[in-house]
Amino acid sequence: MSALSTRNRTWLTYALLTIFLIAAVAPFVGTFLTAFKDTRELSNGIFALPEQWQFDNFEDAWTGARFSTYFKSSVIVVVPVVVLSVILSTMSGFAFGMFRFPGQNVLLLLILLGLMVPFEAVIIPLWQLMGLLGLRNSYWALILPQVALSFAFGTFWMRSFFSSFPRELVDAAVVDGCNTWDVLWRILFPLSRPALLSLVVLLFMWTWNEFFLVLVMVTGDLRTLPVGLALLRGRYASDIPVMAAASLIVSLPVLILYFIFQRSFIRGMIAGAVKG
Amino acid sequence: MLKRTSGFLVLLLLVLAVVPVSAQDEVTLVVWDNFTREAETTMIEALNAQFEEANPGVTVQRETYLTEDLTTVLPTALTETSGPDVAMINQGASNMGALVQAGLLLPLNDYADQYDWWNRYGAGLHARNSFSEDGAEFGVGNVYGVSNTAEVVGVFYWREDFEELGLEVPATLEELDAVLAALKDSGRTPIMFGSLDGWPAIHTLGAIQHSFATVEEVDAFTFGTEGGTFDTEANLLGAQKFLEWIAAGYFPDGFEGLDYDNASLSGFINHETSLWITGSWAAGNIIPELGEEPIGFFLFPPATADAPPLNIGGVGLAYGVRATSANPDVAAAYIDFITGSDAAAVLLENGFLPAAEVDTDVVAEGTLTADVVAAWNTISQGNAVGHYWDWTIPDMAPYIQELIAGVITPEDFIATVEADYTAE
Amino acid sequence: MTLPSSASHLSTPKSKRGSGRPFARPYQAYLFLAPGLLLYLVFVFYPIINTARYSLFDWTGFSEPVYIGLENYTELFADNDFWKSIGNNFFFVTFYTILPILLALFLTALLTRSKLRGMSIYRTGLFIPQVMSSVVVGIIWRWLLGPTGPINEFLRLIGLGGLVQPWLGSFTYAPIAVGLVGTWYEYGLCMVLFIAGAQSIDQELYDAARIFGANAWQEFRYVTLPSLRPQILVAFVLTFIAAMRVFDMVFVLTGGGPGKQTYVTSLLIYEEAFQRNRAGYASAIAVVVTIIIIVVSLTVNYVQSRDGSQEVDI
Repeated sequence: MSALSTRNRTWLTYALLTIFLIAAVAPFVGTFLTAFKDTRELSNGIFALPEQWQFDNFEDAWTGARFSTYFKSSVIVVVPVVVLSVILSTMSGFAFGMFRFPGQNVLLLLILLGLMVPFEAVIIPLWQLMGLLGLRNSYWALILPQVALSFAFGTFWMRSFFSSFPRELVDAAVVDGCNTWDVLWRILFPLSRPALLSLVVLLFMWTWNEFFLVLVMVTGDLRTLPVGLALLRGRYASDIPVMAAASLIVSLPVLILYFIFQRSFIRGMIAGAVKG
Repeated sequence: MLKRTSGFLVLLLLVLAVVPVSAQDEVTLVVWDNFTREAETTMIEALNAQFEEANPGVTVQRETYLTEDLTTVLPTALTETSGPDVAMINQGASNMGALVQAGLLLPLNDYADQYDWWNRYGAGLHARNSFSEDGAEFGVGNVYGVSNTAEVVGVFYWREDFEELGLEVPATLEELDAVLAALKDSGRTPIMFGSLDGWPAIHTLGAIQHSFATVEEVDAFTFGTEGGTFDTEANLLGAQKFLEWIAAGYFPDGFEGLDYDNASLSGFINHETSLWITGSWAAGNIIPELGEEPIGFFLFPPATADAPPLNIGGVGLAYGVRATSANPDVAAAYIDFITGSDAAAVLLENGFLPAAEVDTDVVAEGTLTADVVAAWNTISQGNAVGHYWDWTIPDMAPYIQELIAGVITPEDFIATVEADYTAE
Repeated sequence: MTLPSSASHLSTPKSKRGSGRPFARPYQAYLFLAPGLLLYLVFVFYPIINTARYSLFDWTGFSEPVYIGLENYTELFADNDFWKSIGNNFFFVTFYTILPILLALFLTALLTRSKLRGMSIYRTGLFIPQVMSSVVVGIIWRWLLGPTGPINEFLRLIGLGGLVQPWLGSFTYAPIAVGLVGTWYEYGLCMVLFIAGAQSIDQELYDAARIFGANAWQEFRYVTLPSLRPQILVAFVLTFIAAMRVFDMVFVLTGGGPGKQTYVTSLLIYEEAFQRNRAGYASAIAVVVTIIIIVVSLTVNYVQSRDGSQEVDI
């Protein structure tokens, strides 16, 4: 390495990174281009530009495959899940990160359990529970379990953030007469923005992409996009451009959110990730 | 900030609290089916509208699932009073059998008498929707479902290839071998096949094995009656023939990595191969793309000239009724309609093979539809309908993939399946 | 060279806890915890307990459960499919955990060492795979890896036609192909974690290393890598759980085939519970897999805490 001049090293770095970047985004770019093509054009190669940029495939997916309905359901589910679980895990992360109380470790392990159990096995008991509560085939059957699961992850996320938070600020606030509630929401919450935003992106992504829970719990118009995508991928579907368009419709909201939050996201990772 | 958030939250909760309520005074019939494609949706919704019109006060509320998702979700849904009144049910011990065992399905014998469903199709086919009351014995006892579609696994072929090379539709396996050799010699890839998804391998290998087998053998194996075994000479010869074809290069290069939808279906439509061994349902995909003329369909020929052609097939998913349905009479009326001859004509028009008999005059000669209907009539009237192996052996596809990869020999393959069969 | 040590993800640093104790009334913690915990107990923990309970029953998922003691477990330990699938899960740990961490470390070294322009574009782009739905990822890769798919076409184009494979259908290469798709999917999360960690490394350490004449590799080996230990632990635990619970991607790519070459425990659980109506047995598999995940995670955490200078309390 040291034999290389600085300039050569710079070029080597760029070259290596570019190779990896291509590997990372090429499948996505290919999907994007395919979504605008006609089935006939597929033989031109995956990265060939569409002969004519046409939106027919999106229209087919959006109206024909009822993606507009599924999109609405997805939004109705993802918004409360993200909002509720961010609020709840901020509070619990605060409790774990700033307090010392009996049973702390047991409770933490208990919550961690939710992230470790293979979900396919829990779904039938969960389904029974929803029947018992009379919530089956309602948005609640999708929202409540996902809030609870997101809470498990969010608690860890916010806990590591709060436990690395400078204590001096909190001490000062307490001296100034703030109560605990105010310390959390007036002082810590605004300062946690980076960690919160990255939590929002991750939870949004996972909730948005959830398939199995939706399949089992609800029918009809309550279904969300990933189930709609699976229906499209039925035994008989062989229309690759429509599949590509549908995949884009499913991925796009998460991508947009990610691009918007990108900068804060990386910064949030610094804060949310483990620190000494 | 917080205030706004919580305000928004309250609003959201209010919106979510408004749960749709269904009308109580009229009958709403919840029907679950597996018609997921756009054309199928249009067809089935038109039929449902027709039924609603004929039965004032009845609303059909339709839900659609992929077949595999239907299998996953249906059992638990049938335990519910809000579950489907009528649902399409997959045959076999682990599907319909398990539902019967749990008491979730209504025996339909009385309705079958009332509506004379017995004559819709042959008694041997009703056996596929029949179980003993405890669900333990397959093929006997009460009938728990009626099917509206039928299917037969046979051979699709490009007519122009046969004309060009002067080939005839083969009547025996030997003749088929000659056809394949001629196609290969002409530089073509003879048969479309992809084993990535697993289940198409069951159809291709199964078709060859049925060619050597008798209907008694395959019935005994599938219904688990006395003498039922996979360890037959027919199955061994079939497995060996299958490997012979692989070695001869009769399947596309890299067929292990080809799937059904994107590779096999579109590959055959693009004329990458001359033949395709698959179910008659593929006609529903081929006709919209290529029309009725270029492609024909024939039954997979028997190994010996005088034997009747035994082909995998049967009636499609069966319409059954939830045991706790509040409207079993309406449910039965719906089943009578959707499996009846009027619906059959609509199904045929849409590229489906109806289970109920249809007037064959409506089908023009020399078309793919005519070939498919003729093939079905031959086996259903000739009592020569074979079975899908995975009804009995759920792990069949992995076993065949091992056979293809050369991990196990044909003899090992037979022994492995037999061990699985006797362990049940 | 002494470096700042770090507590693990699972721990609260005790030193801090001892010194600053801002809240005199610890019971308040329960109040903050209560609302979320209540939801969690009802909608996650209670079903988990039921799963564990059902593992002792013969139960189709819709029948009356019949108590059979540990029979499901004795059957499990004699079940070849179970051993094959758990073996595959551990095989995938290489691709879901080890390789993504190594790749992410390499990329982190490239991205953070050089103060070059355009690095944020690379950072954003390289994270894209992680953002996409695993079902979409599966569909795309199934197409890319097809026998006549773009990857094989590319190999032929550059004269490496001999390497062409029916990747996902090949007994030998399917596990590797599925694994590499996993690597492609998982490295982004590791990378973002490491970049974040690397940015908080004290610049003085690098300066010191340079004074001692360290080259790029030595700098990475003796400064960056030790400082990233806590992030590596988090990445390990998260990706290890992902490898042990992988479902969607394998389901879409190969369905577990060819044969049982890519069959994993989640697929086995799914098939036993929903295709073969053996929900009790499926629950037993889930319990065993969960125990394995817990044991490995806690062991790694324990080893980390023993090596690190700080105490860890889980």
